[in-house]
Amino acid sequence: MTELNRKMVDHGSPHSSPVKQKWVCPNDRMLALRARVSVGWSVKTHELNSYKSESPTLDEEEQETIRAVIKRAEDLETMEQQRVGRLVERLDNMKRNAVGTGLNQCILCGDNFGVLSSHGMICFDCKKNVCQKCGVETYSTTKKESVWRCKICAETREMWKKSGAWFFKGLPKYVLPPKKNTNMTGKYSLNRRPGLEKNNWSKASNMKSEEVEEESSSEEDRKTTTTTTTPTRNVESKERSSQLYSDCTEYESPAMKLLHRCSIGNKSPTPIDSDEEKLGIISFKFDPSEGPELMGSAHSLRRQSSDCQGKNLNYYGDHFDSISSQYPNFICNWQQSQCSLLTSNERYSNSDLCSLSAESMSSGGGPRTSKPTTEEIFEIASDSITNLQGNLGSIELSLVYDSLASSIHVYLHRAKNLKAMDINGLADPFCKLNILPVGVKSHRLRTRTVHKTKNPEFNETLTFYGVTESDLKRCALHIIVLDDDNYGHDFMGEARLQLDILKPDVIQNLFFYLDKHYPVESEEAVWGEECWSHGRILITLCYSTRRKSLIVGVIKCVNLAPMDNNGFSDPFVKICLKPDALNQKFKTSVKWKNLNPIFNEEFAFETKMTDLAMQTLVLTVWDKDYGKSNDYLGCLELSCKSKGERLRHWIDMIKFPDHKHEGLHSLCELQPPPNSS
Amino acid sequence: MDPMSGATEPKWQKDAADQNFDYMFKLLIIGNSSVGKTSFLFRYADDSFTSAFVSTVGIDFKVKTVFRHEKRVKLQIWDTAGQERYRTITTAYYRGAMGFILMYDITNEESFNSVQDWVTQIKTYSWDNAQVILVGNKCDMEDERVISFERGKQLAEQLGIEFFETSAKENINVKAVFERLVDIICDRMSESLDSDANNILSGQKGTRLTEGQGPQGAHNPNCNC
Repeated sequence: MTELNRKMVDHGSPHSSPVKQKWVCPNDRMLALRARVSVGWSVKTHELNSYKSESPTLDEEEQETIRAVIKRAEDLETMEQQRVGRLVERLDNMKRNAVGTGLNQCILCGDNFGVLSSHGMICFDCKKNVCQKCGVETYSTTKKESVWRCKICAETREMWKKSGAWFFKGLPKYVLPPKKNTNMTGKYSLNRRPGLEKNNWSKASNMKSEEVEEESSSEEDRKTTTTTTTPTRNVESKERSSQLYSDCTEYESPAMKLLHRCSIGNKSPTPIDSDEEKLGIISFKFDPSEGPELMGSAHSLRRQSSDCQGKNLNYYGDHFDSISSQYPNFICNWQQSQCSLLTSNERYSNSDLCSLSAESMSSGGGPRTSKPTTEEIFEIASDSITNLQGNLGSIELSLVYDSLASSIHVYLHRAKNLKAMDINGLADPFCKLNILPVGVKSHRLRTRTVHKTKNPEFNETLTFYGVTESDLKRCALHIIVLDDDNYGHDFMGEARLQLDILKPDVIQNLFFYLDKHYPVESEEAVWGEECWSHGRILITLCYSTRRKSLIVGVIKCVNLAPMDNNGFSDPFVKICLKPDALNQKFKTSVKWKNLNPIFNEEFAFETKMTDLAMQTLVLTVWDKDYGKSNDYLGCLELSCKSKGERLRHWIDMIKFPDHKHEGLHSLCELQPPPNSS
Repeated sequence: MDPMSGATEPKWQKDAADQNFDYMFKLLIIGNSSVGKTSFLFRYADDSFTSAFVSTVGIDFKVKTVFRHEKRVKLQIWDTAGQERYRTITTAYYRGAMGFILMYDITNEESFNSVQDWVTQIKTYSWDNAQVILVGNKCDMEDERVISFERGKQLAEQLGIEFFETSAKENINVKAVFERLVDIICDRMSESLDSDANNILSGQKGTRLTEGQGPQGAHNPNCNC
C-alpha cells in the first residue's frame, strides 16, 4: 500500500506499522466534511495542478503487483492472438477453396450459370457473381435493406468484427494455429502476413490439390471439385472479359508499367443490379496485383484524350504507394449525363474536364430517368481515398444563373459530417467560394463562420456578379470549407463544379462530397494572401522518453514580413512552454537581414509526457532591433486546444514518442499574452 | 485480509480462458481517485462490494463474458488507478480500449470538475472511434450529493456522450452501464463496417497494423517511423 493511501485512510496514526496495518474507512461524517471543502481532497486532481518535475517512483511491491497484472494481460493477449489466428486461417481456407471465376460461374463453388440452371447473385462487396448456395443475405443497417454477399465477403466481415479489426482499422497481431503442413505457415510463428489480397482466390491455383482437400474438411460447406483447371483461371477470366467487352479499348501507361484496361460497352455480361442500371454507372477499380483497371458499363463513353487518361493514372500512381494498403473502389453515379463534376479522382485541368464532359454528354448510353424539370439533382459518390482519413463530409447548395443580371447566385444550405478539427470533435467551419480560372475578375466570397459544429447550417446566398453566359462554359466554381481559427484557416475539404451544367434561370440543387485538398500553384493567388501573410515556420517536435523532455527543433521560417527600412528583418524565435513549473524559455540566434531564415536549432523542455496534454508550446518570431523594442513578426501555438494540422502535429508527438514529427505551420498575427514574450 | 481479491481468482481464470465467444471488447474505467471505479468493477464482475477504500495499484483488469443480441461478448474491463502518479502506466492502456467509462463521484465536486480533463486525456491517447459513457457514481449517498443529476446530464450532452447515475454499493445501474456501452460499441461496429466496406475488402490494410502504430500513424507523412 502506498504512502498516499495511508494518509487518506489511516487517520491519526502516523507511526502505524506499515503495510500489514488494517485499513479503516473514513467515516461518513469525515467524507461529508471533506466533500464540502472547496479544495480538492482527491489525490489525482491535487497532483494534476502542481507540476512536479518527477513523480514518486513506484516501490518494489507496487512494481510486483503491476507486473502480475501485465503478465495476466499477456496471457489473455496470447490467447486472443491465437483466436484471431484461427479466424484468419478459416477465412484463408475459404478463399483458397474458391474455384469459380465470379463471371458466369459462382465465385465459390464454380457452378456455371446458364439459362436452365440457377442464375447468380452479385455479391454486394466484391461484385462477383455467386450462386444462391454460396451467398448469404444480411440486413444492412445503413442501406436499410437486405443485401446479398458471397460467403467469403460475409466471412471477411465477420472476421473484422470478431478480431476487433473494425476498430483498429486493421487486423491486430495474430498467431496462426500450428499446421500439419509446415511449408505453409510454420509452427506458431508470429505472423504478419502479406494478407488477404483481393485476388486471393487466384493464389489457390498454386496449391496442391491434396492440401485443398485437407483444409476443406475443416468446416466448409463446399466441396473442392476440380483443382486441375484452376492454374489458368486468372488468365482465362481476363481473356473472357476482354472478349465480352467488345468495345474494349486499351490504353497502356508505360511509365507505370501497369496493365490498364478500359472496358466500355453496354453489353455487360453480368446481370446489372437494378439500381446501377437506372443510374448508369462508371466504376473505377484498382487491383493491387494488376494495376489500375478502368471499367465503364451501361454507358458508352468515348475518350479521345488519352492524355487526360494518362494524367488520371499518374495521379493514382502518385497515390499508389500511400494507399497501397487500400483498394480504392469508387463509383460515380449520375442521373443525368450532362453533368460533369470534378472529384479528387478526376483531377483534370479545366480544359480536360470540358472535353471529357463534352464527350460524355454526346454519348447518351444509359437510360434516362430525369425529365427536364426546373430542378435537377446531382450526386457524386465519395471516393475511398479520402476515406483513409475519414470522409470529409458533404455539402448541399443550390445554384442559379440569373441571365438578366449576369450573375450566379449560390445558395449554401449546409454541410454535413465535416472533419473534426479540434479536440472536442467539433469545428468552426466557413466556406470560401471562388470562380476558376482566377485572374480576369476577382471572384472571391465567403460565408459566415458557424461555430462549434460539424454540421453547419449556412443558409446564406452569395452572388457572383458579371458572369456572362459564355463564362459559364469555361468556368468552374470552387468551394473550400475552412476551419476558422485565430491561428490561420485550416483546410477541411473542397469541391469543384463545372459551371456548364447551369442553364439560365434554372435552379440546380446540388449535393456533393468534399474532397481532399488538391494543391495548385500560386495558392495565394487563388485564395488571397491573408492566410500566409505572416510567413510560415517549419518545426520538428519529438518527445524523448529517455531524456523526459520535449525536443523542439526550429528549422526555418519562410516569407516573414519585412520590418526594417532596408526591406529585411533580423528574425529570431522565442520558445516557451505554458504552463511550465520550471519556467523554461529559449531563443534562437538572430539571422541578420533575412526573410527566410534557416535556424536548425534544437531545444529541450524538461516535462512529463502526461503533462503535455495540458501544456501549450508557444513560438514567437521577432525582429531584432537595437535601441528600440523588438518588432513582433508572428506567433504559433501548439497544444491539445489547437486545431487541424497543428492539433495533429501535437497529438502525433504525444502518441508517437521518440520520433521526430515535422510540421510547417502558418504564423499568426495574434500576440500571445505578454508574460510569454 | 482483502476481501476483493480472495475468491475471485478461479472465477476470472474460468472466464478468461473461455474461448467460446464472438466479440472481444476492451473497456477502461477512468476517473479521479476514490470515485468508486474498482467497486464498480467488482460489483459488475463479481457482484461483491466493500466500503473499505483500497487504492488501485496502477492497473488491474477483470474478464466477463456477456450475452447480448445473440452474441457472446467477452469484456476485458480495465480498472485504472485514478492517482496521478500512475498516469504513465494507465494512459498506455487507452489505445487498446474500445470503450471508456468515465466516472465521477456525485458527492465530490472536484471529481466532477475533472471530467473535462479526462475527456482530453481520452481524446489524446485513445483511438479516435472509442466510445465513452459518463457515470456519476455513489448515487445512494443522496444526503451528501453535491452534483445534481441535471448537471451530470447537461455535461454529458455537452460532451455528446451518454450519462448514467449509478451506485456500486446498492447495485443501481451498474449492469445497465456496461450493457449500454456494449450496445454503443456494437452499433459503432456495424456502422464502421458499412462505411469502410472498401477497406475491408482490400484486406491488405489489416496487415499494416503493428504495435506502436496509432490511428493515423501509418499515413502521417510527418512521422518518421
